Amino acid sequence: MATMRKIELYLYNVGNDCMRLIDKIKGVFRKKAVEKDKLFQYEEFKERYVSKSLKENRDYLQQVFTHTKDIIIRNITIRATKQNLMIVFVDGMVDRNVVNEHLIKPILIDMAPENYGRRLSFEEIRDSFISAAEIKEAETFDELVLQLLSGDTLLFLEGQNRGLIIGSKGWESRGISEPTTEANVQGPKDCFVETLQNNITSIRRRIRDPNLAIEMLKVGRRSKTDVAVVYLKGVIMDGLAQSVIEKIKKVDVDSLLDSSQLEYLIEERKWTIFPQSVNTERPDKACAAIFEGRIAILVDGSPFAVLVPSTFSMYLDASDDYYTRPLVASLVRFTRYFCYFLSASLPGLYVAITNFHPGMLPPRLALAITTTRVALPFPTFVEVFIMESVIEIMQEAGLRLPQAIGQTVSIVGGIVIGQAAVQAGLVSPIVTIIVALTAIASFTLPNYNANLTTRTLRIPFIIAGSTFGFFGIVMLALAILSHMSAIETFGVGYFEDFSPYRLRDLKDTMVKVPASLMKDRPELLKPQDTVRQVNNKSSGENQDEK
Amino acid sequence: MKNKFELSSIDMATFLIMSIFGVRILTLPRILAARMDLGSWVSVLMAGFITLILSFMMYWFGIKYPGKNGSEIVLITFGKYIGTLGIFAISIHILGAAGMGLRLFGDTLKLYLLPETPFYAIVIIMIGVSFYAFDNGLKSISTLINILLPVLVLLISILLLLPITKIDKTNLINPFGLGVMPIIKGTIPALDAFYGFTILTYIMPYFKEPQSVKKWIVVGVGIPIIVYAAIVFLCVLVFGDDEMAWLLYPTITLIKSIQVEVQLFERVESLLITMWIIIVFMLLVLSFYSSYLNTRALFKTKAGTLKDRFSRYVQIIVLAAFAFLPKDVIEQQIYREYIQILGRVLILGFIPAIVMITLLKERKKKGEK
Repeated sequence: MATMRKIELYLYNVGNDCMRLIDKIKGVFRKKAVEKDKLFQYEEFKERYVSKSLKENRDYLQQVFTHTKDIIIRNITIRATKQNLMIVFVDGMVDRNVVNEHLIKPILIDMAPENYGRRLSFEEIRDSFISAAEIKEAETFDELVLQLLSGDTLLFLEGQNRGLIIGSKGWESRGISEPTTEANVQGPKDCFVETLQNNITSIRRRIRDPNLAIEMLKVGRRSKTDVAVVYLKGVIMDGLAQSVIEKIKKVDVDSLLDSSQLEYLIEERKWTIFPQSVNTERPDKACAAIFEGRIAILVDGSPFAVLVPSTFSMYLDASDDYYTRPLVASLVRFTRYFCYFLSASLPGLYVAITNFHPGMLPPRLALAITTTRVALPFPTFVEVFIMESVIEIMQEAGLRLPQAIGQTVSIVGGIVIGQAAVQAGLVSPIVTIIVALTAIASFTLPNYNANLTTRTLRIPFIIAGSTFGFFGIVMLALAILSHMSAIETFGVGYFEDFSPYRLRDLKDTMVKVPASLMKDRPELLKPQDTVRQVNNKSSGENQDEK
Repeated sequence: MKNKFELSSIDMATFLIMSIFGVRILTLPRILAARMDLGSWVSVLMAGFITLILSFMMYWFGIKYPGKNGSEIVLITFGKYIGTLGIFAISIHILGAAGMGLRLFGDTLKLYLLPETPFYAIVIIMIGVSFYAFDNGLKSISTLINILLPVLVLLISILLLLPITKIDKTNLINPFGLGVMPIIKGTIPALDAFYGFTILTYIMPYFKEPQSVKKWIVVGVGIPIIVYAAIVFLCVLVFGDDEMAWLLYPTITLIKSIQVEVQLFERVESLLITMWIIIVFMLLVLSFYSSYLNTRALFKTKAGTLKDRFSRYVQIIVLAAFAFLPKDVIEQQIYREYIQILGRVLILGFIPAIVMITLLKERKKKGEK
């Protein structure tokens, strides 16, 4: 019997060798049908079916990935059944353990003795040999190539016009660390990372509601980036999720590298300096927003979730507010609102008052300012402008430099330049104080985009203050408020938590009431399920009046 | 996702308060003091009461003609010809009053704050910003009002509380010294201060539950009544009416006389300016809005068309023309008188007339049945 098998195997191998020889001879004479540097599109893959011949599939894949050296194509022969298989994966994108232990090993080594001699069917291999958890079938190359490039492993079987996609994604990623842009004292200290799956897990761990919806979309014609839209069914406003998803589906770009790019593509007002969706790297903040009835959009490769729809108060909320005592948190919030105003308008106000209305100041202060300004060469406007430019330069320099040098810059810039400029008689010490105070005020803002907005607003305020004094400042503030009132994100106004007056929405704005009083979700998001706390006596009444 | 915007009931109060506070917050004490004594605040209360009745009339025909604003109702009740004439008169009154208010604003600003800045620059900026706010639509306007109202109320309360220390008790002597007649006569000029309540009829069609705005009408008219009465009362107490009749803008003088004891700011002018700018700004925004609705009712333009845009810009030209028309303060005073008379005719004539005609029509219908 054993000799028979040996002869059989020998003949098979000889046959194979002959076939290969014939192929080679054929290949020499075959016309080069395809040009070498052909460009491929996913649309084309849709019409390309998996061939029954393993070789044809391999040739096709090799042709697609001509200049891609990290694609690994491994041919396997199951000796027991004399069947040929082909495994394809991208080096570095896959978890080698899955490929080795759950794919190659069961097929090659753990073959049960009863299978000797008979040919295994495709279904058998799929169902009883491969021990990886996630497995899918595909007949066309569009899905196969996409999944291959996403980190999955492909398996082709000789004589089958289907391919198997074995879930084997696994690559080196950054470990979960503390948030860098939204630091906090109390509360959770984890943050999102660049891997979408990890981020979804971070949210799932906090929301174990079966109604948590995670809709996966792909954005980017070439990048095919995964985008997850996360929301709570039964809580979210009717139709909001659909409109967000439709908006994302309409996005037709080449590539998507960060969530902020998607944010700018789906926002309604393009020509404004005010951010229209909140960026956060904190899973707790994202979850709180989801519980309120908002949507978190996660993008693969970006450690920031985008929260929509957003309202103005969200930009001045820090997670800390919810983990400290409400009265203290209210005071801190009030400080932040004040700082927002200060950060945008303080230099402008200073220019306006000293240039136009010195009478508003107490005589001694007015005199003190005048004394420091006696020998100065520039008018206040120029002075403030110079110092503002200096601080902008320093901020930008401190941001771009490595951390160790960044500190040096801040010391050199802050102390040396500030002090030297005053001593050299270029600027007055009060201007230095004003500019420094403005910069520090802007750092209290928890959202970096809000910080950038106030920095941008500073210049128009300085110009308004220096041309029309206090009148200019107030008019500019009114114009900005009008502009902000007109901004809408997905049907929710920017100031909707302040207008119209609704007690339920005002509870979490400039002040934060104790959690025991926040029994309902904010009304501005029109949630389907309004109740937040069960022992709620006032859920039906108290709808909108103050 | 684009739903039709609806106002919530509480917006009625905020719109009314914002709209009623007008330029007369500066001049009302003088106008009244020139005619009577300490009792002038009683006239303010009476005028307020009349305003309340008139606003409930407006509310009533707003309910009778659901979805129609004031100018459309005028067209329906008075017919094509008289109605068109009426709308013209209303438009002229609205834009004229706003133009005069703007003129007054520019003059006071030049007088007290920016002596070197040319008048036209102030006017252009004011019109530009308020037109921008109006052009953003009703939702934006309502949001703006809701944001600015707490600021305004805070400023007014501070400014009214500070002069209390300067009250001259001797001015309290001789209340009602001149009898009751001057008080009744003073009601009509006091009523001029409340014309802003007509905004009610323009926003009526946009309410989610028009039936439930009644109590907010009371609040919206009540708060301005209290504030106006308090201002008049305070001015009389501080200056006495002999002195006050000679002050051009008693409220400004009142506030400028304050020297804050705490040496943070020498004077509270900055608060006054902020208040004054907010008041005039909102006056312009709401005037643009109601006047635009007038034009829309008259020419039946559809939103978004070229005609519609044109009708918006026309408001600017008319308003600016009114602001630049008077050569000096005296001429301005004369024009203001004319507009006031027009306003009295419209408010006291048109509103009751609409109610009467509507009632007559209803009776006719019932008779036919």
